[in-house]
Amino acid sequence: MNQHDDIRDLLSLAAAGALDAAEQRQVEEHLRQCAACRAELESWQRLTGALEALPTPQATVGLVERTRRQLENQIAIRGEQRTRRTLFAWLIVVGWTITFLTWPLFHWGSNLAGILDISVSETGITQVWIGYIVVTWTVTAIVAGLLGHRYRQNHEGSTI
Amino acid sequence: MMSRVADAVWGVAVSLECELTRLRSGDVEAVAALMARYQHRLYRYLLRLVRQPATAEDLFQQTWLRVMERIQKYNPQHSFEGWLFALAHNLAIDFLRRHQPESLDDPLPSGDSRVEMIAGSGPGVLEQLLARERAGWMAECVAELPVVFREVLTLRFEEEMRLEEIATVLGLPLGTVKTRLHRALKHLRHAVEEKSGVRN
Repeated sequence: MNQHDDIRDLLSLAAAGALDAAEQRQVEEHLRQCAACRAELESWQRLTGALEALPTPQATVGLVERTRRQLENQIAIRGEQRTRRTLFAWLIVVGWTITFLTWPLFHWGSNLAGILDISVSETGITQVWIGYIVVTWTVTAIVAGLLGHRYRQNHEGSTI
Repeated sequence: MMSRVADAVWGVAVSLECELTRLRSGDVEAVAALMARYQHRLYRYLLRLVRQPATAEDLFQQTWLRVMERIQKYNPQHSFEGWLFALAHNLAIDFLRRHQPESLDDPLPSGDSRVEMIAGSGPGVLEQLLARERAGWMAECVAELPVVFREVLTLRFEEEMRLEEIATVLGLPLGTVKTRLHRALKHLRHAVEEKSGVRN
């Protein structure tokens, strides 16, 4: 390709204002002496001018408002999810705390039984403690399940 | 006059900054303000990509949901507009991949030979065509181009983005954007001429 062809190939981008400084200079220099390229550039400029003048399609009335409502719902759902997660985390923390804190209490209880001359074996205390832990964790799981169920009901209600 | 323009530009920049700060704290009013600011441009961009008003509106809503989800990841050093359009671009491309996979990865359905033919047609023919029904023709011709061309044309000529900004939105190197713009213009010119039926 000679210089004329090279420049001609750049004219579409020149009309689009997408040339770098060096290319722009090259094109301008060539245009000063080439009428055919000047005419070609004008054609490209009409095309790009028509693109710039395309009518802007309008969104339907209320799009922003609908989107806003959707965002508000989303924020409310997220808030509920955050609350649920926090609550669940607290239930776990409380469950484990009870698990660890109650063992010394049960142990102390067995010593107290010895002092009061009540016959309770170490194995019996351990079994009671394990039973207590099972009940604690079961209650925790039921509460978490009920909270989750209530959330699902609310969520389904809001999306209908 | 200049100071009034500077004040206006400064005012816009400050209020955008302010809205973004409020948005970070989860203020829905700030999102509504930003939506109102960008609604026509964002909708137009999405419509040019997907061509169906209902889908464009759906993607518009999804874009703002994503803005809310990811606003903490937005770097204020960069343009909000570029970030917003990049989110919209990703959603639209995902949609098109699912629904119209053939139009995405094949930006040159006709090959270069058709484009070469354009060089033979004189500028006078094109001028006549453009003068006739410019807007109608143009909108139809743009709509018929592959999505990668429609997108680069709308970002450059309707959104008036610089090539660097377009590269950010599309996640492409600057050179690729330039080549794509060049090809898009050639294809558009060819489409305008072909549609008119005045080609030799």
